[in-house]
Amino acid sequence: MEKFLAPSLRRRDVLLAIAGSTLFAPALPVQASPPISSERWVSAHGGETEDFGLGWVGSGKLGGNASTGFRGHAVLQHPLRPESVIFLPRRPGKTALEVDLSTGTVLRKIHSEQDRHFFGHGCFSSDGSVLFTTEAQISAGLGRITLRDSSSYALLDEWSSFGIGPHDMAALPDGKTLVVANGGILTRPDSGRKALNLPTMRSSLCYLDAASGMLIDEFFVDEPKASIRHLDVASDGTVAFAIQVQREATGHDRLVPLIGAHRPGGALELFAEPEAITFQLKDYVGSVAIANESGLAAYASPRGNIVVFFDLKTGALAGYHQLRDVCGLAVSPAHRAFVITNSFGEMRELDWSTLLERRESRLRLPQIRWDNHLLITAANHTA
Amino acid sequence: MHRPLKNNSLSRVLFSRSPALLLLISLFACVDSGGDSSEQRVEVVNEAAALQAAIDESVDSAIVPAVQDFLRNAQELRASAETFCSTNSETNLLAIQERWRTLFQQWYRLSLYNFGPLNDDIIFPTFTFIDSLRLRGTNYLATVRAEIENDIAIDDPLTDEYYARKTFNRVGLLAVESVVFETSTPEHSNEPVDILAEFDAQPRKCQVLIGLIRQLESRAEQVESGWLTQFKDSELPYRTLFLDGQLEDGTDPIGQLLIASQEFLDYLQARNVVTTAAQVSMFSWEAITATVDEVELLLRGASPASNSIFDVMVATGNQNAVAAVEDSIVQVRQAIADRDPAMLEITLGFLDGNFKREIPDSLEVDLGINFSDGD
Repeated sequence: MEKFLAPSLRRRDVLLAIAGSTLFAPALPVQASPPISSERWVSAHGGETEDFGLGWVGSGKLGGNASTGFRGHAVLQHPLRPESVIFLPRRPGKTALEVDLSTGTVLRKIHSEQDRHFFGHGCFSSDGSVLFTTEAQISAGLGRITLRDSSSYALLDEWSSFGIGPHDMAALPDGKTLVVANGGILTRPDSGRKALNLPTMRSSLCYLDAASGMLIDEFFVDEPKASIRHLDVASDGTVAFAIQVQREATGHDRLVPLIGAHRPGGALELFAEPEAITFQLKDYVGSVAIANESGLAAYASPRGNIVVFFDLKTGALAGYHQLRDVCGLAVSPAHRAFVITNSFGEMRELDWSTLLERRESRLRLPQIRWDNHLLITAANHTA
Repeated sequence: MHRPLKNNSLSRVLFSRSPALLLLISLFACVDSGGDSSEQRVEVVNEAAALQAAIDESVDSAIVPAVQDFLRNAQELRASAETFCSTNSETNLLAIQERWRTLFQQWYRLSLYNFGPLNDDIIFPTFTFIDSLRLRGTNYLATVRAEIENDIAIDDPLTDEYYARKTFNRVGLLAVESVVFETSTPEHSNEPVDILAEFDAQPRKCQVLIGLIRQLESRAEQVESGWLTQFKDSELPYRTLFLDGQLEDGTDPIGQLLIASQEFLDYLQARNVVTTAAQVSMFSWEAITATVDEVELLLRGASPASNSIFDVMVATGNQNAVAAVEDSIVQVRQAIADRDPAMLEITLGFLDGNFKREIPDSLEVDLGINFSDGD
């Protein structure tokens, strides 16, 4: 039955398109509007092996789509080649790609070393010369930060992440410090994504010296089964972080705060109130983004079908927006908006101060299943 | 003429049950009458139309009646309470207890559809004011007992406004259960004679009873109005928004229905509801039986002529999935018959799993990759 359908399209999408164009009121499968700027909204996408790819939206329509053959996770804009992005694989992938968005071509493949795999996140050094990625030393079950030359991708060095299962990481605005979310969960490629150390898992937020890899400081949350996995950094160095809880290992049903922030020099702050919001997040927050201009951090929970917004200075709830299976989250300077995506091809814009949705800007690409993370590239590429 | 369908079972379902679907088949067949691909299109479109018909059927034969029955039962409970308060007798006490049981069972049918008007607010959703246990499985019996004792003791007028201001954990079915099935004295006697004696000695207890039931009735009216008149600020009833696929968070109707069902079944197991709910009236097994009845109604339809979810699953060649669901239902019913909480938890897990795998897979419902497989 499926043979007449393009492999990347779900059957129901096809028939909605057929029905719309033949019998019923016109219903375009793609209703495109902004982005109107030269920003690109970029994300891994796909639900099956044959349609995994990297897609990007520009000028109100699907700007391009590169087939990758494997599921991606985070995407990084290359600071020295702004037309390029690094497409990092979902754990436990062993190959990353550099993709030129202006042509849609894969420029380079970046392979993890023997006994290593990627965790799906990374960042660049402040001068753009070094690509840092979170990786696993498989045999030892240790977290590593791998350094590569950002032009040749030659291995430069490898540091400890000072934890197990490092996931997201970022460079701080001082240019000298890296922050790493050690999820604390041990997995191995030969046992898939199964957590192997639940009784002993311990997550941490670690600060490393970006020049030496030395541990500067590390922070823990009280709940040992809470895994800090995603983060974003504000212009003042505040780190907003997001947690997922291994509920089956907690042995209790108490609410666990899942979102918070860490200000330089302070302790971890968890945004636990209101409890109804924590409850709604359903033990899983999958991405976080900060709008510096409004001082708001957005946290997305695909299990809760919700994005919640907190004031980073006060820790108070500023608002929420409900969207099914929402996870992709980024800030658009050109639109002064939070942009959110889901696995049903939807993109929505919310004003970064009022949090009101610009409904006229809704975008739906039914053939695209946006994955967990969204990148909005800086607008310094050619149109 | 329409082209013959390749799938005979699909043809049977559609032709025997829905002239509208037959018309749809014919129209599509006429649009493109050449080659295998047109047969493919006919079949694909039929599946979607059959699923839509099943969703329509679910709404109008299961969900809306559940909403209406809950309201009607709440109204009947209020009338019964008014009768009891005008004539305090054991007969009338037993009658109001029976009304509460009926309402509680109806709630366990309606609870399968905990979305839209029932779950209308992130912070203060309506369902929590009806059933505080449902929020996080916390049993607020001690809280409602203290509140009832306090309301009897104080001098404040027990008006509708007074009860409308109460937090969710002080009102609802649990509070009414405590009022009608036990005394508010420290021993919390369940003996009708003791309960009657307290109502005799404490006239304010009847005001408490009426006040709590009117709040329940008000919530039931709100839910019914949301489904059939206007949902929040949409100017449309939720029924319309649901059937038209216009839900604010973008969820499609069948996805919403399946997620809500699995969430409720998950809640029943995770919170050991059979051992925590309705422990004053000892009525939890019957309530869970009502849930299973509702699950069957949802999946099988109201009558053999219905366009049901099971019909769509069979029509698309997923008889084995239907059999798996039916087997789970049989096992849940057996655990209920045996009054075996451990087996109930296990078998509800089977049924919950059916709503996560067999049913959405058979219907090709996509619940989202981030939802099911996050990192």
